[in-house]
Amino acid sequence: MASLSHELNNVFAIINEHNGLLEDMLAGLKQGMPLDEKKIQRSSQKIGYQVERGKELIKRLNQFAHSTDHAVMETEITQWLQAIVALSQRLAGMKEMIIEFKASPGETIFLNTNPYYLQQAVFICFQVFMANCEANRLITVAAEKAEGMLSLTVAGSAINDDEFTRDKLGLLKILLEQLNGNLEIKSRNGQNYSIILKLRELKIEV
Amino acid sequence: MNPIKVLLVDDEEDLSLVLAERLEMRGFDAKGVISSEEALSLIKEYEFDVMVIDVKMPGIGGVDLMRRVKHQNPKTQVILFTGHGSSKEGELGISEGAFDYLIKPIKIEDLIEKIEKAVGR
Repeated sequence: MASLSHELNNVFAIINEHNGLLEDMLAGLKQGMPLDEKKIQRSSQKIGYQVERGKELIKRLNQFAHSTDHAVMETEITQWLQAIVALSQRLAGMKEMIIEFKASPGETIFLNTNPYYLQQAVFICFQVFMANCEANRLITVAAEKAEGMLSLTVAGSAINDDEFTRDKLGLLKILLEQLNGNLEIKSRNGQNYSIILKLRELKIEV
Repeated sequence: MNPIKVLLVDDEEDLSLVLAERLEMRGFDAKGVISSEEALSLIKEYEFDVMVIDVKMPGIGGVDLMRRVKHQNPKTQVILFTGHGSSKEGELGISEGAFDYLIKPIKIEDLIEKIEKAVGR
């Protein structure tokens, strides 16, 4: 959330500076300096771009804010995962990491679940991999649903064996209990780890 | 009097370059870069009177950059940019050697006032 608000702050700051530049050029015009049409066009385009960027950020913030409105709801998993990845991307970028969502083309996955807990669970997986940013330059997220069970796989190169990681995985297990799910961790020869969250449908209470 | 040399460091290209442009219009010798790495490379060739550094940047963060700049060019003053709700970061930066800090979005007049104070004008 702090990362998103920093980004939103930057949007306002950029609009502020381009607005200031336009004011500077107008002030120059009054003093007889010619108007630079290209610069005006550039500032206008940049302001427009930042407004769209700001709208997108607010949309994601709202999505996160409203995720606690309903305990259990029919959740479009692809959309939620894309939002979580977008929310986490700047934080990952600060550690020189990238999070990539591997969507199955044309597939829309729905699950009756608690989207707030789901976000928290996926974010904990990111935190586990981000704790070792030297090894984990790329984190991938993929989802598939089969026979009523959703499998969410968050993969990276390495997981630390320390108290922080154990605490996070402990918390993840508790969250998964609330999500009617379980946790699997797989690796190949102590490398290339996958944290697999297996979730079943939850009952929507009327 | 020689123009004050200012380097702006912010990973948002639109911020560092436009601010540099606006400072240039006001008589400063200003440059803008978009990473700490670029800044560290530039300060090997040029000595700046003031560097304006965003606290939150990917890779080498703003406060870390400041420490390295101070080590290499102790005379260079540093002003930090922070976001709303981040005044603690600014205060931490001052305790680590920054001249001052500003919370984005800024007023250019405020930035100029701090730059001029930083160089004792």
